[in-house]
Amino acid sequence: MASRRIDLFIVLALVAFSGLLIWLWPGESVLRSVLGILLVLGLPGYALEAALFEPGSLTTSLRLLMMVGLSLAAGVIGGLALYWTPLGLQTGTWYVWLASITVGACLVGFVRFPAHPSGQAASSSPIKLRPLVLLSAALLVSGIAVFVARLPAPPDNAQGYTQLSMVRLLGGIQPVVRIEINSSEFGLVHYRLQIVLNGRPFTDIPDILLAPSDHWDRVVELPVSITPDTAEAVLYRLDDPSTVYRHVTLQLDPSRK
Amino acid sequence: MSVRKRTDLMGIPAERAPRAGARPSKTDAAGPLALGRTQASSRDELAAWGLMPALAAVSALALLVIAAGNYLARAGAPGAELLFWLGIVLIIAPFAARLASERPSRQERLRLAVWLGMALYVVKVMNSPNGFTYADEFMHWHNVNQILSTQTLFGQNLVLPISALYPGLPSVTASLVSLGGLSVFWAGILVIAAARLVMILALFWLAEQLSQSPRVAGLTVLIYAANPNFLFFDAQFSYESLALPLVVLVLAVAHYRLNPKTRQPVVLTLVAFVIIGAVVITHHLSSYFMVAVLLAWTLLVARFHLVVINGARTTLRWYAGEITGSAAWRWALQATRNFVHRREQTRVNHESSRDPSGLMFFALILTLIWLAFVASSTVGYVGTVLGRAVVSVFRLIAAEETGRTLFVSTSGYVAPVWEHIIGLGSIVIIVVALPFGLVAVWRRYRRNALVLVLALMAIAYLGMLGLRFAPAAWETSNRASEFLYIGLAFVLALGVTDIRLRKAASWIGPAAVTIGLTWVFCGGIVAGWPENLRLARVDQVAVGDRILQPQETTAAVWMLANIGPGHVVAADDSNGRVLLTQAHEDALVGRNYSIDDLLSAPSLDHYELYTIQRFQLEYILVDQRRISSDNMRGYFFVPTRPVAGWDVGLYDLDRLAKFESAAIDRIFDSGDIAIYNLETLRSGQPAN
Repeated sequence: MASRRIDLFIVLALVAFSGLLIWLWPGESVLRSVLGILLVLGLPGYALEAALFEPGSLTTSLRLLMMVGLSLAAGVIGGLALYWTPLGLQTGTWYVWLASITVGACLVGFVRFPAHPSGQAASSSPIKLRPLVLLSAALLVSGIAVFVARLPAPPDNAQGYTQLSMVRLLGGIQPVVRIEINSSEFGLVHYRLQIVLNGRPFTDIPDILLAPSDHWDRVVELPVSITPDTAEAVLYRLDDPSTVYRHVTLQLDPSRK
Repeated sequence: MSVRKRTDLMGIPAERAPRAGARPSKTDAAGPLALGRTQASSRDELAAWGLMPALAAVSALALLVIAAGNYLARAGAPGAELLFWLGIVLIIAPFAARLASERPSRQERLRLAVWLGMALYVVKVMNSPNGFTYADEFMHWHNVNQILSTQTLFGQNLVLPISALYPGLPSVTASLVSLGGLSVFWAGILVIAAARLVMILALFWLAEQLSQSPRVAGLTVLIYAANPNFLFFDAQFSYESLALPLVVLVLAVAHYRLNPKTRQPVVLTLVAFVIIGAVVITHHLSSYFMVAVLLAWTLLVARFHLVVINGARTTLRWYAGEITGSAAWRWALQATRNFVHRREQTRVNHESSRDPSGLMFFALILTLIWLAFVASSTVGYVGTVLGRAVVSVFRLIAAEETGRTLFVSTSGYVAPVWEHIIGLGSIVIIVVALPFGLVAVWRRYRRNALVLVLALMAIAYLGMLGLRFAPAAWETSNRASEFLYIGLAFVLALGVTDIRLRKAASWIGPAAVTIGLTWVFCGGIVAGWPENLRLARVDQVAVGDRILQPQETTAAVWMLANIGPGHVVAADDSNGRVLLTQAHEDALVGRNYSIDDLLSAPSLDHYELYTIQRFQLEYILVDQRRISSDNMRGYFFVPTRPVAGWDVGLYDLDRLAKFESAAIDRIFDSGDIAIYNLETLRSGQPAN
């Protein structure tokens, strides 16, 4: 007794649902990711395999191989095909390309092989409990291994650092600069920031306290009257106040923006 | 391919001869050539788990051991390497023992092969689990970024221009990013995982078709996994990692198509055409390899080698004066006529569908079209590498240069003695086992042209090993391994089954095979990947609930936020790659743009200023750490505890001082890294 191609109906439903999700809910979500993965790496190949090969003519492993292999090939060739269209490679065109292949192949599959041969649709017998438990445990432990691998390292085998930067901002006659400190030190650090114009101290900020990954920035308007040639920001750590820890310099030619 | 009803000594048709020593199980009957799948075989397929779930659980524990090793390595604690090797052996040895055994069903072998391949892929993922950190990965990451931002192909890649001309990998990845909302990193991980799955299934299918033995097929996958580039290099986010599996799929489909029992040759031809197209778009070397294998296969099917052998013999006879020149010419014309006539007869007899020449010509034409009209610069790129290799070999033979010392890195680091033993021992095992495989090929498969091509590849692999002694040819030899190992793995698998047969009554046989296979696998890792990169490095540091990134990364993030994308920035090899991908700058690195000279020069003289003005450099990032010029190790926190072979030194202060004295803007300072604005120098107004 032959059975209808329920699988292809499911494929079509997934294609339609993923399209709705992409357009109506464009934000990131697990569901969208899962459907996106299926749409790129599974459905086109599955549909092409269903259109090209008689149901039941391939073993499960060959069907899996064709599904993934043809999906990858469809993606590769799709990139080139979309490159030649005026719209290029964007979310919409990618969807249209992959959905067209999938839907078209499903339709061909419906026409060529409208039904599974006897028994094929219901050939899946249940997996026994012990292999299922062992495989689930293996997958779980593998996931834990990846989780452990992704853990950041403790700070005792690396050295922290601090970023100091100074960039010129677009302003009027007065030169305006933004000074920024980013701490990637492994503990609380007290800094002293000194701004020097033409070698003379201009501003001194005696204590800036930053925790790891903290950020400090300040926009500074430099006086026109001084007409400085150079502005320098010098950063000290208060635990070593006599050593310049970081320094940055700008050449303040008024003609340069 | 001419299929004859030739029988072997056992009276079994040569084309369908069972493998030696194999005991066909019920499920073996539903092999690759059994197109019509029965309901019973389908049930077998689902039921025959055997020991696979248990071995999967063991391998998962082994992954956990390797993860612990990675954590210890990043913490700088001792014992990390021991855990890595323990994990590797725990993965490989049980699978090797089971796959070499005669007991498992076809389905169990297939599942073992798939799980093994994917578990080994997880080892690579755990090696750099938070982002791409391999030199080539940055190139393809940049290409994906280009597609996502410009919505077109063939964008600019200043670090590796050739990679942008093969947009297969970035296309698929970009589609996954667009449609799935994934990051480029996770999309890339999934695409390569899919490619890895294709590799294993296709290789298993191909080997099973050729040998008619699931046992040989499973062993072929296992041995292929021992190639020096399988664990890390061909698991990276790179075009070869996608293209090579598709090549194997082409060969498997092509061979399947040749089978007279195949009911859908036209459909299979279409499938092969599509996949060939994908390979050509994706990777140059893989497409050339595909054409070469199809060509060799076609020529062997057409018995062209007989023409060549007879031609050589006739030429020698003419040279020796045994025949006249005109007789030799007559022979040549006659041989050509015979060759063409035989080809015509094959077509008339409707045997052309058994001939891979059609696929070969399609692949050849497509490859040439792509080379001529899209990626013509590939000739120079590949030619330079191969040219250097050839010159190096000749110079070595002529004693004009000293040979490369094995197990010594370019920085002078010498691998420990046990690695020498593992590495050289694995070669010895291969050399010893290969003749068994070659004998098996000759005895049972010499009528199969594709098997002969694989045997030639296996022999070529041994030849390529010699290139490892030539300084400029080492890379060529190493890169050839993932291609030639396809043949080597199959031939060795045949050899292993023969060896196993002879020791069937003893426990020594299985134990020796298991140890040998595990040894070869470990030898592959030793030969293929530097010791201090096999374990994860410090790519992130946790301080309380905060996660800190290395200097390169934060410098790129700062650059993107404060300077914006699209500026021409000079940098060393590692920082340039980070700037390219994470700050979206037009980073220039290396010798091609004289950036190495600019960075290392003691002062800014005319040549350096010329470089700045010629390439219109807007910014330069100067890193004081010597490791920054290492495009494999320059992306991490520098470890405070010593790592063997890890250069933690600093460059001379001149590297920075020349910019300090040039009165240009020093806009960024993170200790080791400084960024300078080259505006005044670029516009031809060098100050001071």
